[in-house]
Amino acid sequence: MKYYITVALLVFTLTSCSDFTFFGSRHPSHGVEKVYGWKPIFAQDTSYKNVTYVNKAMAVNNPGNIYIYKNYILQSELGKGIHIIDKQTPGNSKRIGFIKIAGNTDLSIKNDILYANNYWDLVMVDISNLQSPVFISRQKNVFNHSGASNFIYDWQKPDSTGYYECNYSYNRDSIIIGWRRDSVYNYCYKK
Amino acid sequence: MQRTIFFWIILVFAGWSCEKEAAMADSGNSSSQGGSLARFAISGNALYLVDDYGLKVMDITNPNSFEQKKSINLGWGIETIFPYKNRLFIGSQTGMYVYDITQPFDPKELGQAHHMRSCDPVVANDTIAFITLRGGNACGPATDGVYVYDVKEGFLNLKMLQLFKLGTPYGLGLNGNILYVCRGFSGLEILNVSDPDNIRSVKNLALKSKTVKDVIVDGNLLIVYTNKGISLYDITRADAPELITNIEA
Repeated sequence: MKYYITVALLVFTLTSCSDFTFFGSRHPSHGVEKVYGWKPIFAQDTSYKNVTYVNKAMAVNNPGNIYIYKNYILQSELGKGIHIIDKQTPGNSKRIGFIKIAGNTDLSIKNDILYANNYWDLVMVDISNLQSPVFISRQKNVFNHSGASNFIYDWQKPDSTGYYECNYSYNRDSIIIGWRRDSVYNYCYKK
Repeated sequence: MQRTIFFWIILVFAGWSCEKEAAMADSGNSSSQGGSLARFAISGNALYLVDDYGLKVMDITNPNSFEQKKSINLGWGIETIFPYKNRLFIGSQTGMYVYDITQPFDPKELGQAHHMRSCDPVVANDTIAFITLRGGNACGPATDGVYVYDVKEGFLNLKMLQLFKLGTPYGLGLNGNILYVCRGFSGLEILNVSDPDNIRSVKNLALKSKTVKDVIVDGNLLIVYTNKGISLYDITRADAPELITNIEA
């Protein structure tokens, strides 16, 4: 009986914790070696840096943190940008627009300036007029680039299961737009 | 996104009179405020950011550019940040960090509380801290619930007043004597915390087929963040929220 409990606990520990090791879900029973897995494909352009306004309601698929500002509620659409919701008449509240900021996950506001992450960069946007946000400046590489994080870079995992490259040190100006099969180190595993 | 280990959210207030101030500690502008799951927080001219590995401090005095002042490595699993007066509370999957931000661009660590077993934080002038902790598997042996701490005596004497057991707590928000605790699939729990030694559950509000994640108390409006988007509730009666509308799809 004791034996079964021990084994069950061990299996539970190994499987349930593996997603949260520093390097992501590296298989605990293997050493570091090259395996066949997923390698990221990086974008060739930098259009992901553009901060633009969409003057209509966008679909809510993966809602993130909320923030209140004047008569508005802002809500991050994870990885895409920020929904603008007019709450002036609560019963009639609706999304009125969207600030496109690729890779966004969180925001804060002070003195009509929006601070938001654009993937690992931090951007500063003047929202004195919410319907026409003006990009002010960018601080590059504020956030950690590891692909193993369970927060900012959650979508930087392949869609399919398998080992994938997560400890890359490529051009930090670029973002992952897809994955291809290749030889990779077995640091990270997508379940 | 599944987070199967710990989940910390911190809410601190100084007596009953200062909770409004606490709710707005996130911002120098009283008309803007984030939720309890925030990873960005502004206090004065400092913007504090947490990613999975640590804390970054940005100087935003200049409205045209940033200046990164500091980066503090905190290991991993950093989840939330909550500024209160000259203190910064950082919730992680392994514990809570408390920093002194009297020098806003040079936070000084005051203490850490790992799994709340070694609670040694200080909150000057403050009396109570509410913390939600969500355990649930081999990585997180903590009992799910709202942990209530007396922080009058400072970090070296942090006294747990009560562990109010409550399954799957996420974000939380305080409205006078009422504490709203988001409970994922289990709706929104409305607690009366007028006596911090003896928290009472007033009721559980079921939000059908939704995962309730966080709230912001905005006057008579309760903004509820769910996996479907946002639901608005009228909280003219703080302990009896009434649905106004859903902003979803």
